[in-house]
Amino acid sequence: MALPKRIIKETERLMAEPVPGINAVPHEDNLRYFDVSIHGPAQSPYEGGIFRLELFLPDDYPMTPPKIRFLTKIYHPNIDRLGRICLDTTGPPALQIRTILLSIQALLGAPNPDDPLANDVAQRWKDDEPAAIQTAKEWTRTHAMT
Amino acid sequence: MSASTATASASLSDCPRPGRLRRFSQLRAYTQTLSHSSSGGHRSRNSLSSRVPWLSPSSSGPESPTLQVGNSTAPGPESDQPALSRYTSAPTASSHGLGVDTQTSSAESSRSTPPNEPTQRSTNVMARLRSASAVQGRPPRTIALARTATQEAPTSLPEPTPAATDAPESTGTIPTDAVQVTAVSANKKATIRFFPYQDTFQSSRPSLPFVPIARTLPSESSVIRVGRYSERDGIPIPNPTEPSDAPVGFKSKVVSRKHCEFIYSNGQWHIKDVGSSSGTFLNHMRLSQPNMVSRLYSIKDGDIVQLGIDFRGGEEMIFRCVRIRIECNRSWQQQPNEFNKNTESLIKNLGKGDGADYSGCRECSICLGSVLRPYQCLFMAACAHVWHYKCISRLLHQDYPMFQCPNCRAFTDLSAEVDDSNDVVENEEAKGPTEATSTNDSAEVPAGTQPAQATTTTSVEGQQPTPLEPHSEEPDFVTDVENLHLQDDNDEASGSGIDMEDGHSSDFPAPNASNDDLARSATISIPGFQPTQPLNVPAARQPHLRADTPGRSETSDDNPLTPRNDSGPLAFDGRAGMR
Amino acid sequence: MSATIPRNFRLLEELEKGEKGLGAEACSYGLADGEDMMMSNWNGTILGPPTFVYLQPAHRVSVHENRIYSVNIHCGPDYPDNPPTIQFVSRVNIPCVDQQTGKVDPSKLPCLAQWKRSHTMETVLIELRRYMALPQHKKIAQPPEGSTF
Repeated sequence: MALPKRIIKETERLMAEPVPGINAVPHEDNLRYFDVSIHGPAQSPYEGGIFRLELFLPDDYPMTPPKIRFLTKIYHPNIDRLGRICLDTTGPPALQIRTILLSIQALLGAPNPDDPLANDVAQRWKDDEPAAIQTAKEWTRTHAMT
Repeated sequence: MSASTATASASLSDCPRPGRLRRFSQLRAYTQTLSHSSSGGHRSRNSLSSRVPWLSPSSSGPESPTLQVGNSTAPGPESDQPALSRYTSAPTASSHGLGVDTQTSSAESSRSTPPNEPTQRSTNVMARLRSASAVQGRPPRTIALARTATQEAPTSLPEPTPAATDAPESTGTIPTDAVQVTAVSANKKATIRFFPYQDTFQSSRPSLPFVPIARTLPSESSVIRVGRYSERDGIPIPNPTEPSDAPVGFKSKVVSRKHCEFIYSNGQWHIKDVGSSSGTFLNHMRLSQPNMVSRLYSIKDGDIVQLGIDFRGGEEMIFRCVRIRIECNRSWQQQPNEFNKNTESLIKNLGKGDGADYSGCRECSICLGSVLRPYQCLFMAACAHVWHYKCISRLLHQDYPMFQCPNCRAFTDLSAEVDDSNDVVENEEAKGPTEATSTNDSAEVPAGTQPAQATTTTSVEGQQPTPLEPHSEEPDFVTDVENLHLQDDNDEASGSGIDMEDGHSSDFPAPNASNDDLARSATISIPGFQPTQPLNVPAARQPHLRADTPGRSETSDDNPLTPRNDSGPLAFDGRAGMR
Repeated sequence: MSATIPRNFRLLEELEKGEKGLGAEACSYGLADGEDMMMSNWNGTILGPPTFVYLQPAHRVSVHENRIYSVNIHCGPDYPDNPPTIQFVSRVNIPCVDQQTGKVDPSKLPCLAQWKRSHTMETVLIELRRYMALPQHKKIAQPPEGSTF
């Protein structure tokens, strides 16, 4: 299967100039499928945690955005129980893997309970933010620090 | 300020380079044809900076203007790039205009900046623009700006005289500059555009389609009223060429006759629900209870406004809600700026065969291969972003005639009339000199850098004033221009220096999110900040997604806040009101 | 040559399709545990195939009409390279279902026996329904409605 040049280039660059706190490695048997890890940003409830994600570049990439999901459980108003990210990744094709992962990392640093796609976590975040942050920290300890 | 304009004119009259000026006017004409529909390279990053905390002024406190400058020129211009600052200051003017935009658009967040800062900066911008116009102002520009200008040639001409020393065009130039200056300030303040927005992520039903609408306020006190389109009102004008506060009408029954208003005050656009029955939603937040007038809510570039809620599943067009993507404070992109001029000079390289210099060559953000090699079919959007035709063609046809730049998200109407308004003028003054007359590429850029030098001397931000050397710097220009290209790339990488290739291919703020920035952003909460926004864009509006969207997704608990109502325009599910 | 979609994203796609009700009307499916990050266990339902009134009266009968059969679906780590395992919760008497356990014998259901990566859980549910409606199966006496394995 011929891998589009764009994907090859992006992968090369991800390898050559890794982003601090972000690691993305393609699967050997599927070069469109990446194992990703993101370090929880400092001073966020996710600090100290390493969160695993999976990322897949669909056939149509970059016209169709990458598919991304958290594999590590995370308590965050913009991430659902299956690790789906309520971040509209239908961004323009100019967005690259790198930029999208950075924006996910940024999302960890700036949870947004007012996001329209919010879930019950978001409600809790709004009702009782300290408690929600506490839970997020606990989850980080339980699931992301092993 | 007058000193600066004086210098500008001095440098001009000392060194009247007709060839250059002509070349520059070509460039100008060129960028004009490109730029009248608002767009550009640095814009999205900067407009985003108003909403993204790690870019926003408040996140870095009072020194944020410096940051802005750093973004738009280069990190540490005074120490590393004295030459650069010389050449970038003319474009910087527009970037500075943006800096002001950013500040105004994020008014709440920028309150922490010293109060004198914005004024200082805006006068600075004015000075720059004015001095730039002293040299650059050409009738073509007048025409282009007049189209978007909010005022007729005004009476309070802020020192247009220097331009008058430019004898050959003196007749045309005075009004030109006058219009330009006011246009720039007025334009910057009071132009707004509405684009249809399809909410791809929530894969809800398509909203009401409409032709993009632009309004430039004739005066600051004008209000743009939005409501249901009524046959009695006559045919609404989507894009008046003159300043207008004509009401905006949508042909949907879920839009009330008087639905909402857009108001411009204190350099900031606002929206207000004026008692609509089915609601006005700003980024999914309902502004008021049914039939209640809301307070003013400030809006910024990229915000999504929804009018009403789908009725009867929105199956019939007339029952669909209206979703509008706001574009405002983008007029800086309509000026020549570093980015579109850079593109222009790169494109000129194409004619030069193998010997051409591609050192500043950008890459196609779709395939990440380099564009601007000879013998490739290219497409350039009005924002001066360029792609291989093959790469971009799908986006061109996807929502034709609307096209959204995948890099900077500027919208373009591909079916818009070709703007040949400056051809006439062009022919008069730029007859003859084309590629053949220019010995190298520096020819057109120095013309642009003349005002740059002039303005630099009055620069307040601490850019190193550079002595004028009008006659002796030709060779430097060549090399500096090359540096400029390279630097431009650096520059585009958002100044953080960590992410060279992303910057210019995406103009996305995330590259700035270094850990420091993240750390900072984590501790600062910005009202209205929405992390989804950077990505929350209809650019890759996907028809297949839309086709997939059933009327049954209410069951999905992923989108409980999407305003939606199948029982009637006056009934609510209550969820919106809870917010 | 198209990209190979990894298991989890494939399952997410199926989940979203199922949630939105985009699939066939007569079948539905969803995650058994909404917090299972591996998305291994699913619930499916099959609406029993109806009687066909245009057939000869003798053939009209469908013992399944108006019944709702629920099944458990398990997608292993190698899904969709390998088929899911299906187990009926509702009692049903058809040859491909083990009458002790309710498990579907993959060798007896063509879509499982000749599994393709493009097959989905929905494929299987639809095929099970069609299987029930086959002339040789639709008149087999069925256990009481609502009984379970």
